[in-house]
Amino acid sequence: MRPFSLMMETKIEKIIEVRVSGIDMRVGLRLADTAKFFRDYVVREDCEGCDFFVSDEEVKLYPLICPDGVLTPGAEFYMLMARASSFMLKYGRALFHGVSFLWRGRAWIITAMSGVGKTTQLRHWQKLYGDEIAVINGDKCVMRLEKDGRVFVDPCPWTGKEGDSGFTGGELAGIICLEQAAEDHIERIFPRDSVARIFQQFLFLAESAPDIRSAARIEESIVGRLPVWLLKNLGGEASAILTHDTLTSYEEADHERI
Amino acid sequence: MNAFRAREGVELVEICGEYLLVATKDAREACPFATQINKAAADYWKLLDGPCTIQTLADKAVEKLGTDAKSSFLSALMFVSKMSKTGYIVMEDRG
Repeated sequence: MRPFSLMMETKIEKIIEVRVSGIDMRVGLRLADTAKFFRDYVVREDCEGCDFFVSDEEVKLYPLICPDGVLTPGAEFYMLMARASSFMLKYGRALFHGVSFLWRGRAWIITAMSGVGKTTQLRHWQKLYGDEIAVINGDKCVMRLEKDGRVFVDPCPWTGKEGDSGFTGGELAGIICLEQAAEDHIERIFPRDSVARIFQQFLFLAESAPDIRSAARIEESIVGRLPVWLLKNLGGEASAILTHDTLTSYEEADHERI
Repeated sequence: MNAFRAREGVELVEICGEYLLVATKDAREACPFATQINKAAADYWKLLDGPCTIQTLADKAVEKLGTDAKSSFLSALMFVSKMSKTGYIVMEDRG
């Protein structure tokens, strides 16, 4: 829990308990209106004592999100994301930046820096293969590391500006890293080329060495056990068809091996 | 000879045999959040257990990594040059 003295200095209008990826968190809201963004995840309203909230210092650190130091419900919701992710690390969970969807019974993530074309890829998949997929989240998801080393993808309230979200997750099957290029090409990449790309898409405050090691443990289970693909693409439907067909062949060949 | 040290708040993590230097919040104003380094650089990073000079770092490499004196010195020089440019190593003024 945040220190009581810090809470007393920061005016908290409301404390709600939310459940994300099976973890209950008491979230202190400086603006009661922020609660609306968590509506599908709230398990209890008006709690006492909170696990985290957005501090004055954090508001000052992000002038682009809080121009002139003014916090809005949308800004507060956005800033709570990293705090929530850092809170969940000790439970083997972390928020990850990417579009996620269920396909062939398991979860797939397309990840890249903002603006590279993740949502475009998701739209292509929805148009071409809409009856094959179910969206988990259009912008972020929770990576959950289980004791047996398997990683699961869970939905979360932070859906991005398009608002794509579902309520069902699944076991992670693989990750597709996206790049813009002059032609469409997809290939499997291995730890040397994937480790840094993927680590940089974990969303957490990295305030301490234990936090960093927790995120690294989650990634170890992903990169060490699951396929990671690099899709270089022009952004058209052909790139989604290429990805779909390549992954289908890989999955079917893998199934035959097993 | 100038001494240097690892910047406080920078962690070396290993993921599937690859190495990343990751800056915690306190260090992030001075260096990138996460940078991949090779095994040789990771080995040298692990030798930084307090203020060093190029020579003392090279001597530690000879002792702990079994490398010869000349290549250890050159490697230490390259390592410190790269790491100080990215901010992961802090040079200390000896006046």
